Amino acid sequence: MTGRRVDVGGAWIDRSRPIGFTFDGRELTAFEGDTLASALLANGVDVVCRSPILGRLRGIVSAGVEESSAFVEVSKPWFEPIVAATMVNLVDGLVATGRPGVGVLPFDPPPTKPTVHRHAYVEVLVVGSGEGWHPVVEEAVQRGDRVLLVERDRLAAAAGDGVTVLTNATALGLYDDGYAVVHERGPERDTLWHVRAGRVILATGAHERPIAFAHDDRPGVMLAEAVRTYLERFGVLPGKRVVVFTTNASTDGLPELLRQAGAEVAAVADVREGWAVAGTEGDPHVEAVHLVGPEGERRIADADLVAVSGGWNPAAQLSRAIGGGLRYDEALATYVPVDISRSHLLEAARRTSAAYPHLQRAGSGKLVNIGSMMSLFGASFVAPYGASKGGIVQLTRALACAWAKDRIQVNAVLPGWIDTALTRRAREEVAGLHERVLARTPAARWGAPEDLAGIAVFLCSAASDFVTGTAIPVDGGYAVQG
Amino acid sequence: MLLVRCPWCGPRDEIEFRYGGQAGLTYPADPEALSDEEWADYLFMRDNPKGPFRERWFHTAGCRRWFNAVRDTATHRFIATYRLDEEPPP
Repeated sequence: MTGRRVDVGGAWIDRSRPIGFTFDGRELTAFEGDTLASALLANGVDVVCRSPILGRLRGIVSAGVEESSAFVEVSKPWFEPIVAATMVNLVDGLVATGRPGVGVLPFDPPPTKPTVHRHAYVEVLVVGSGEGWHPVVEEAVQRGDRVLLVERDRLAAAAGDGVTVLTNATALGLYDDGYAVVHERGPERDTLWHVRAGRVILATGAHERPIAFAHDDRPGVMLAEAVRTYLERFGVLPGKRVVVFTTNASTDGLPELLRQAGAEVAAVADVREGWAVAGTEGDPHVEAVHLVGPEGERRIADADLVAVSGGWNPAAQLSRAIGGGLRYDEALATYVPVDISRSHLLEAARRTSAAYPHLQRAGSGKLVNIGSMMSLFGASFVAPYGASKGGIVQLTRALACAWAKDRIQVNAVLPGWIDTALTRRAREEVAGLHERVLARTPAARWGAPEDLAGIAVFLCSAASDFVTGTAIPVDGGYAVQG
Repeated sequence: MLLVRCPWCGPRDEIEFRYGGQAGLTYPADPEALSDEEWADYLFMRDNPKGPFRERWFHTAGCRRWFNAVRDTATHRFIATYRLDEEPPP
């Protein structure tokens, strides 16, 4: 692997501001905005350290927190005994050496970066800049809620006004009742944030899977998305001749991108076409790549970089830490977090149960659960959501029977297609949704949030004292249209 | 970390509190009359349900007052907290 800086890409670096750093005693240059990993690749450094037990050579395999290979010790301007090179934001005068295995704490340790503790209380905490949270955050900001966005990388997604953004910040842990610990890496000092949030949205994205083959740990074997990241964000081409080894569509366009940057694409080994990488050769970095075809044919490609993509795993660490489950998704061919049934159905059961003693003491009461059109219909893309919303209706009926003796009425409202920030985004993303809804709704319009007010007032008033266990659609007739 | 609602101070972090065991145990009216088994039962034997459990909590680092709670032992969730002079929720 012989990386170099190229003229294309480099959105995250400032080419007008060169900075100097030292690695393993060599004085090297890079640009402001580089990570130590991108700076090493730009300088053609392929071997970062050795494996701690067998002493095998270790290069850079990723561009983020999932780095499993390239570990360094930083000695200036602060001391950090062991850290992934991908997680070090380069500063002028930084001194680092390769450091495999465990870090070594000197007898007289030099000063580490100071860490301060801070506390934050917010209504909504968003972890990561992934997809899907914008409508929720927009609504929260409109309500005047405090919203905190935590992003591991140096740049976060555009969050809009009213959202506090922490960059270079990793959520280390998520605990009961919305308590999160966030480590923010600053140039001068680190901050450990103790956050208590009313609601936590995990938008942590996914990690790319590697694929196992002989000598897949040789410097020059890198995750495909990392290759793209180094090119697009840092203007670094990690190799001259590239083999792309893939199982999925996320590498579409990568060969073209590499060619535009001046690399040669020696081969694309696509598992879907029967091709695979069987092994690598070379010392110290990849020089030849062994390929196997669908008929067992063998080829050897001259290459110094293998870009590997074995698919994607959602970053479910935080949701698992607070007891969230996983389920296998056939379409995505991966395990995805299951949290929706928990948040809708169990939360509804928990909260209605919590309200019960108070209503009982009051002598009578009203409970209104919120279902959905998915309480009535099936939809292939929202199975867990539909299951939990269906469960809301059944929960409503059961509680209506159980609590009738206490003069408590339990009913459910099933909103149809209502014009909100959430559905507005769905309409942008799902082609034809807007027209389909209009065509099926006898009232021939989208609902407004106010359309739900009347039924809520009725179900909360004495006028509905003899109405219990029902599920009432508020949908302009959508559900009854044949 | 759990968020515990002290009836006097409001929601505070779990580390401010001390756990005080099962709530609602009454001291025997005539301890002298108890057999050794009954006395040991009063002293040592406690309920251990999976689900809602009435227990005592002490706000060590706050108002330093005792209060009672109903907590779900399967999920750790606090269902309710209430003052000692209040009736427990049914």
